[in-house]
Amino acid sequence: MRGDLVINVFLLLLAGYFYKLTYSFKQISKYDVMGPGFWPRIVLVFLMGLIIFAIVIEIRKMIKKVSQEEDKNQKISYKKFIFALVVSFGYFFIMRYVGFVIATLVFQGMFLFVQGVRQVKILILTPSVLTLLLFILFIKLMYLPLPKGIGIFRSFSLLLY
Amino acid sequence: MEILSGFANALDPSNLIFVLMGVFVGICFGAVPGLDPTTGTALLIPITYAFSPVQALLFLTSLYLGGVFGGSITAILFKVPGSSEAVMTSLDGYPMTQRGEAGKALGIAIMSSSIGGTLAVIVTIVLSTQLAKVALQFGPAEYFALAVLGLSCVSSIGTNSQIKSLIGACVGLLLATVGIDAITGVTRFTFGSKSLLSGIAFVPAIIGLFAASEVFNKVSQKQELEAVENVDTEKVKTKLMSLKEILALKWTILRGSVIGTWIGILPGVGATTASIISYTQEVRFSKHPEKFGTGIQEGIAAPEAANNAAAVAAMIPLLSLGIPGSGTTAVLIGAFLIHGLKVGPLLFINNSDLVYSIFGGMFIANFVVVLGGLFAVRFFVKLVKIPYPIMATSIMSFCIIGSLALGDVNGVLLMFVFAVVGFFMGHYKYPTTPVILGLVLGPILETSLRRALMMTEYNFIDLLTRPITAVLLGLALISLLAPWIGKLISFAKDKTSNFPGH
Repeated sequence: MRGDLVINVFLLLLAGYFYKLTYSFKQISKYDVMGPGFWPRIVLVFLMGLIIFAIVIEIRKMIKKVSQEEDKNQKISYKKFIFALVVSFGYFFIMRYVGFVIATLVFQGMFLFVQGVRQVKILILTPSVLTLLLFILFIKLMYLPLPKGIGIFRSFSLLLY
Repeated sequence: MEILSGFANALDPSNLIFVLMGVFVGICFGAVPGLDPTTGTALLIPITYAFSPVQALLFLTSLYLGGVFGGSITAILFKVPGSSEAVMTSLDGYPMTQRGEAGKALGIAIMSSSIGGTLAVIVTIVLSTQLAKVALQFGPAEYFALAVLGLSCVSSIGTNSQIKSLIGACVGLLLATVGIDAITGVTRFTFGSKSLLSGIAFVPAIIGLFAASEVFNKVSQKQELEAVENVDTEKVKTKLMSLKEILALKWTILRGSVIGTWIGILPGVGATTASIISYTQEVRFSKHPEKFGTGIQEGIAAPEAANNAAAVAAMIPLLSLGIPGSGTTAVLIGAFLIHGLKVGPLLFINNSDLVYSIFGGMFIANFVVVLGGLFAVRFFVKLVKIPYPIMATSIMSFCIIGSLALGDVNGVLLMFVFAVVGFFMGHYKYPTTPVILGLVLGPILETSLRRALMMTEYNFIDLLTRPITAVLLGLALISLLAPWIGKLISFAKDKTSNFPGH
């Protein structure tokens, strides 16, 4: 409940900021009545109205102390989320330096590890098979120019594609 | 004659293989809990870049239809619906499995899905062609009203909170304003980024919102995902219904197909709603409603006919009006976009070959579903046993490489932004489909409204007095207020029944 309130207040502030931005759009005299800010302002006013309504509902719930049973399945580990995000983003980031094949192998091993997989056989076999399948699909069948890396990694990639 | 040429085109071996692959991959996505046809469509749009437009759309529409059926396999065998469309199927399907009639239950699901889908294809062919002709007469005012109607239906999507759906839709509408304004040429909300000048890239956005965010959501759950119950699936063999059995269920299948087709046409309401309504209606029509939930054939036939019919009929507003009829069809727009096509009535004039090939493909896909269900059920069941970490790793690799394949580095960055947004939306129970509908309908709404107002010299009343516009806006208002009116009526009933003397 408190989380919903925080999200709504954050959204309201963001909507307010965007509303302010609409006045910085370049004005064209020919379209004075309905310039570039006309439609975004309508949407933002409607959005802010909805958010305020949602905030009122949340505050009323808090005052009435409506008990909410927490769904155990929905409990989220932010640590796991951040690890998964960092590993995924890291994959995309290092791909340009080490090339598609090596980056994919390393990423898949790490992503499995983040999810709690500890069996060495799975950690080695899964990335090998998946990378091979992705290599065949994206490089051999679709001819996509995926990154080859730099230096020694590029030389290695050039052996493959 | 165009329809015959469409059929011939879809039956051409170079295209038919894509229908077969689409249904097969779709059933896989539908059968595995945690994946669904929408995720599958979003995830695989990038690989269709290498296909011809006909092959790409045959593949994705077949995937969609296969996926809607696929959910029923695990719903019947394990009481775990692979996708939300199969929720109602598990109510009577699983009790049949417990009685040792899994093969028969699967047979009913396959035949009902196939018949429901085929009937809906016929309606789709007739209706969308006519609707497209009417839509060609529409002016900006009518298009504005149509888009409002499409958006007003989001309140019924995916959550109990109408407010959250509407907030999501508004966020989508706002995102649609990013880039160069189509009327004045002024840049809006680009923050100096050149890659945002052409607006939010649609495909990376849907990959992030529907596929990557789902992986983040599942991966970060504190409790590990429950493994599917270990049923001896080696003994499961699909038994197709005999003609006598089909005739015995003819009215159930027909009612399901009609309900599904009608609901599928309504913008924003999808196959899940169709299966729920069809099931509840079947209970009402039944002479023995108490038997529902104990494993009766009608309990499988009704929702299965309805969900496949709805999936097909959702293509009617998409193809003829350019308004998506469901979340998956909103995602399908991405496939049209990457092939330089614009959905809407002009598609019937400029790309009629493609449209009729899609119709032919959908017709064939409904028969392929039967083959898939008949010969490959054991394979699909084995897929369910693949541990989720392996699934998640494959999906995330696909999301990143797919976004990279479609454009540049900015596509991947955008995918990550939408994945994080989608993760928090999922956590706080905001449905993601309204955001995509807002993103799709935003440009239609804005440009149509502004053009219509310019034509009427900014007189909004003039715009409202156009008959079609007035009717469509009236329907939108009813659709928007219906849940509130329902709540008020039940509240008033409660008050009355609590009043002394009642």
